[in-house]
Amino acid sequence: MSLLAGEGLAVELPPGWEGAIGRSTELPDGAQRNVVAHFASFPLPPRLGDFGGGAVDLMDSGDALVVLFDYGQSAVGSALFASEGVPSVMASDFDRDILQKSIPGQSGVQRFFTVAERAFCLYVVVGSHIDRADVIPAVNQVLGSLRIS
Amino acid sequence: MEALVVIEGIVIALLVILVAGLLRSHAEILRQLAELGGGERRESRLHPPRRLSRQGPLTVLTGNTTDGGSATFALSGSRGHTLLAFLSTTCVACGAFWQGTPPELESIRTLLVTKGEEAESPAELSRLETNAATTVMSTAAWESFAVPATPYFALIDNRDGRLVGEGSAPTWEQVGEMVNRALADERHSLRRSTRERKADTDEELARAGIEPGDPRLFQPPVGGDR
Repeated sequence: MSLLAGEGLAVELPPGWEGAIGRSTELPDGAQRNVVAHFASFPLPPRLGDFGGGAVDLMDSGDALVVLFDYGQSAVGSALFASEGVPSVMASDFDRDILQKSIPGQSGVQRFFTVAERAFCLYVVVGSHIDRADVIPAVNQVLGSLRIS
Repeated sequence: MEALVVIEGIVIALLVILVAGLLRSHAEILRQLAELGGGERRESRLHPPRRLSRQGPLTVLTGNTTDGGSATFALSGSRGHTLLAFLSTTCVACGAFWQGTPPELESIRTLLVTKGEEAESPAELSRLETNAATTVMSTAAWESFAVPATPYFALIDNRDGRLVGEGSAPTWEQVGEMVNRALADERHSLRRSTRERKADTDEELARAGIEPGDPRLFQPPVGGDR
C-alpha cells in the first residue's frame, strides 16, 4: 500500500495503483482551478483531463480509474451534493452511457457527495463493463481508505 | 644552510602532495567520463544494474508535481516499463532533455525526476517542463537509485519493479536506442530461463490462436521428411 496525500485528501493505494492530486490554483485568466484527484490501476499518462481524458484511452479490461473533483464550498448545501460521506460503488451502478468519453466496452458511475464542508463529484470508469466485478473491490478499497479534511 | 634544506624538503613534499592530488582528481574525472560513455555514440547503452539502494528497489515513486500537487507512480505490480530520467535545472547537459521530447516507445512511460523543492527551483521547472512527460520532484528517488551524475536514466520493469538497466546519454535519441537495446537484451534467449522461454512460446502460439490441445500441434511438420 502506498499513501498519497495533498490538498486535504489522503488515500492508501493498493499495489500497482498510482495517483495524482492536483492543487487548487488560480489560472492566468483569473479562473479558479479546482482540486482534482486521479487514482488508477494502470500507468497514468503525462497530461490528464479532469475527468480522465487521455487516460481512459489507455485502459485495459482489468483497469479502473477513480476521479475526485472538488466543487468547493460554494456547492455545499445544494441538492446535488446532499449525500454525506464517501460513497462506495456496486456493479449495478455502472452504466455505459454515463461516460464523459464513450469508449466501447467501458462503463462508469458518477456520484455527488459532501464531506468536511467540501462538495465532490466521484467518477469511476472501468475498462470492461462485463468484467467490472473483478475490479470493483479494489475501487471500493481505495474509496474506503479515503480521508478528507 | 640546514634551514634551507629543511624548507626545500617541505616544499618538495608539498609539491608531491599537490601532484598526487591532481593525478587523483584527473583519474576521477576520466573514470566518471568513462561511466557516462564519454559522449561516444557507440558506447552508449543501459548497463545492467550496478547497485540498488540498501532498502531495495523502489516499488512506488512518490513526489511533488511542479504545480504543487502530489503524485505517486507504481514501479511494481503494474504493466509496461517506466523510464526514469534524472534531470536537474542547473545541469548544462540536461538542457537537451528539457528542450527535447522523450522518445515514443511502446509500453514505456517516461518520468522526469528532479530532486525535491529543497534542491530545485519549482518556478524554473514549471518553465522547462514538457507536455510529453510527467515531471516529479523526489529526492528519495535520487537517493534510492544512487544517481551518480546528471543526466541519468533508469529503466524499470513495472511488473516486478526490476531495474532492467541504467546509464547516461547526451540526447533523447540515444536514450531511445539504449532503451531498445536493453529491452532486446532482456528478451534475448541467453537472458531467459527455460521456463521463461517456454512461456514465450506459449504466448506466441496463443497470439496465433493455438491453445493447448490444438490438433495443429500434433501434425507432422509441413514438408518435413524426418
